Amino acid sequence: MRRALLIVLGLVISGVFVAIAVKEMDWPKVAETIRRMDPMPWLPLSVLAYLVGQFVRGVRCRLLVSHEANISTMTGSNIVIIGYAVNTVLPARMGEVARAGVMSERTGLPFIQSLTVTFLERVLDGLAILSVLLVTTLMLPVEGLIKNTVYVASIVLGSAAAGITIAVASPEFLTTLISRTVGVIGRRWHDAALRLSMYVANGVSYLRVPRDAVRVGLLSVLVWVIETVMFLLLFPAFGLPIEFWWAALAMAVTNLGILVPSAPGYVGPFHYFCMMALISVGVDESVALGFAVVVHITIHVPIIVWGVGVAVWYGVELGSTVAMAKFVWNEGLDSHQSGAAVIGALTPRRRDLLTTRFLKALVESLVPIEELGLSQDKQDEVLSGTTDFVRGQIGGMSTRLRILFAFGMAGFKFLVRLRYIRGFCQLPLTRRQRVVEMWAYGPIGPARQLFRALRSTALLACYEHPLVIDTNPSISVEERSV
Amino acid sequence: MSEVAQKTQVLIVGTGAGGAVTAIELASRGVDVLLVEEGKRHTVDDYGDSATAAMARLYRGRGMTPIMGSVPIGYVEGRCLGGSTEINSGFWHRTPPEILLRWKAQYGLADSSPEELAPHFEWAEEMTKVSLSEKGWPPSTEVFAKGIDAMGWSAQEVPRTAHHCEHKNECAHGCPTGAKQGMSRSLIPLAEEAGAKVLTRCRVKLLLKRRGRIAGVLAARVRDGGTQELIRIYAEHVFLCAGPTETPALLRRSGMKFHVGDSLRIHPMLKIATLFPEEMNSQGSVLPLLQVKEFWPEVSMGGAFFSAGHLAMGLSENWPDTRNRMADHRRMAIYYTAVRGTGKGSVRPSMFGDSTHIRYELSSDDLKHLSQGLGRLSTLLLAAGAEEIYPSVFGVPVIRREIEAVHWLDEMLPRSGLSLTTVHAFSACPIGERMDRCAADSFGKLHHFDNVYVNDASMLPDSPGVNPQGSIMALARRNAIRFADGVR
Repeated sequence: MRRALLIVLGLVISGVFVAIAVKEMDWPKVAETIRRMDPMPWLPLSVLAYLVGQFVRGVRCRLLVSHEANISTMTGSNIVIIGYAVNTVLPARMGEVARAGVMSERTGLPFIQSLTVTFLERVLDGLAILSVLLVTTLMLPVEGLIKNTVYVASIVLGSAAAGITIAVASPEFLTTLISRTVGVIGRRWHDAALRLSMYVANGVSYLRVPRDAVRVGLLSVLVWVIETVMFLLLFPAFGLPIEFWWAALAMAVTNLGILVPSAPGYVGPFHYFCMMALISVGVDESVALGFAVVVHITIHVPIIVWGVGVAVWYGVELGSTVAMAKFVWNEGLDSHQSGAAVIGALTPRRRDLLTTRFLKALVESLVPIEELGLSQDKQDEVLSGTTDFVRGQIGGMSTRLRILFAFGMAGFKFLVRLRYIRGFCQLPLTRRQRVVEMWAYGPIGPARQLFRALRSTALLACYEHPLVIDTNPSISVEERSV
Repeated sequence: MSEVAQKTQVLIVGTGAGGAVTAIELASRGVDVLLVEEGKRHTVDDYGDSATAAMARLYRGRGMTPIMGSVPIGYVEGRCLGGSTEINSGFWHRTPPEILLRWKAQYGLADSSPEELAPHFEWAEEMTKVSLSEKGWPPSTEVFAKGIDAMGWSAQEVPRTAHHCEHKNECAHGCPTGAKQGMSRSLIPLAEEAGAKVLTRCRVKLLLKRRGRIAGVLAARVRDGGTQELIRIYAEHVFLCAGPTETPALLRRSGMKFHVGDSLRIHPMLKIATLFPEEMNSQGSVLPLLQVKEFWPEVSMGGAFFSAGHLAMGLSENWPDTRNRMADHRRMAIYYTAVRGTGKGSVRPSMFGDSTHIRYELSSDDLKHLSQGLGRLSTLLLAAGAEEIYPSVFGVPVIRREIEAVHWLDEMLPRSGLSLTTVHAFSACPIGERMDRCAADSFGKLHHFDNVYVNDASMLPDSPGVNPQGSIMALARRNAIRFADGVR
């Protein structure tokens, strides 16, 4: 019943957009525009650009599940394309459920966790598109519908991003919040909600390492820049000027517009938003609609061909997709392990605040390694051991302290770069030692506090290192006992 | 233990001095007991590692659990089966009568006179084989005694829970000879023999409330391979013995805040590295065994754990000027002056993480007592023949003469330069009959809940002014017996 309602709603939304888009349209002129289109070489190049974009999506998908599953980039692309293909033939974004289902089947991850990864991908897509649109609005004057699209998308995606940020930064907070709020309803709901929160927390765990989060963010932007290029490559086919920002505007507005669940293949919203974006920069109405029709085909024909091929290959039937959707709505959260003491699995990821190279350079500047009578290779070993210990100590700090420490160290690095025009690691050892001494033992209290834990733990680890003790037998335990 | 117990009569969170005593008393009286411990179980064979390895294995946050405030204070506590009793020096004190009287007067602590607690102290001393050193004093103690004699101050050799101690100087890394009677070696095996079950590597995240009672706990258990699973354990009664910071943090995280986590007390400690003309060989012998009681309860003095790494840490405040002293480490020893803190402390769980925020604001009295403690300890050490004294205070020069030492009797140490540590924290959930300042009644039962008990260092109403293990064990046993009698 719920699914039927969704389908009807999707068809109604599509109908409304189609009606608005084609109202008072000069149809013969649209047909003429498409007939006069010059497809070569622009259409094949555009399709190629789209396929490259799918490949990059595959890379991103592989990375997002990489801490728990090992899939190839091709498999990642196939998972993504299945979702797109199902969205082309089923309404109400059922493709996202299908994508999660295939991901679950290919990776062995729990279905809800796969759905979380899919949701995360979509939010990242939304944020990347929004970023492109925001930059575009700086380059082109926009108003009316496009401005409203920016506002609505900012609110929707901002809320989703805030939720994801909480799940990324503090799965513990999620657990506490859910246990304390849902716990009053009853054990069954409590455990189900907790299990769901754990899947969500696990699904976004890749983003807990800042470097990885940045990598995935950049990949997302790259995906949508490539999609912009795909739009751009079709401009000459319609005699439109090769204006990157026009293409960016059309791509961004179209893709944000089709976030609304609608009919299969986004028929209606896709054309409406694409057309409105182009009209806003002065393109003729009939050319804009003709362009929208061709772009829509350029995107969806490869999707259907590739998607059906993958579906056949993976043996995924549309019936099973519908079944998965039902699973999500009705019973998925607590159909297994209900009543058992084990609620679910958590997969924490360690977040290192400082790179090994930087930390080792700091440690080397803090300990008197050259005074300990060690050979060069032993010095390296002691430094590595000391660095590992210090990293562990930093990791042991509370969240608040680690954040403060990270900010402090970022300030330190920035000021060093400002002063010496080079990064801390690029400075010769003697200069690094002077810089560190100035901070760790200088007159400025906050600077000393920033370095206090570092210098203390580095000195402790260095003098307690087995190689240092072996080389200086007088401080060894065995020697002491003798 | 391969299966998670889903339901138990009494769940004890934490296996330190409070949890282990509770477990053995309840289990031996036929109560169904499950002990949950966040850290791992280790055997004597696992102990005696390097300081760094031991910190990673046995300490909460790998030893990085600072107490924040205008003067950050380094604090460590154990996170392993046996808790802090596995890594402390084993010094043993009964709660001083004066302190017990003050607790009664200020907090309405009932049934806690020296006479009433005596059998519990005796039991604990027998179980942990409390005794004086049998091997004679190491040089660092001998010179300290010489200084005490010269000053004519009152002092005592402190008994330890380390019968037949071989003076390996490994107390802080887990005693490798098994002489020190940490809870993993003394009481927990007995509790297990009596039927208590132990679940390690399991961190309790929340207490689950239902209809005004605690129905059980939600916990994260580490599986082989490092991943975690979330488990739920139901219990009729819950004893919180997770330590002075984690017990209040857990309570507050679970929404139970009545006088919880607002009154943390500590013994702030200032360490002083000292150079003697003769060889001390501190790294090869047990830490100094005497404590000066002349200025107690406000100020205490004694000896601290020594290793090259710890000496480097002690000298690190003024490292560019003091680093050369590392070459003389065989002639050095570390002593401390500690004060019965009168500042205001608090414990709060992190809102967006699993960590705990500990705060303590050093009071003016604390600072005055630390300054005077430095002056007096330096005077004592100079009288004992010390050549140079290096306080762990940034910018404070080395002390070589008595006139430089007594300077600190009247002058305040600079707050911003202090490098303080502590291993004694307590009183974050004070017990007593006074509802206006206590989190639980005199026997640890939390106010407003009839099946949750606090039975660890956090229950001490106020600072005991001495090493707290004895006070914790005696009160915990008294509370556990009373509870068991009620159950029966």
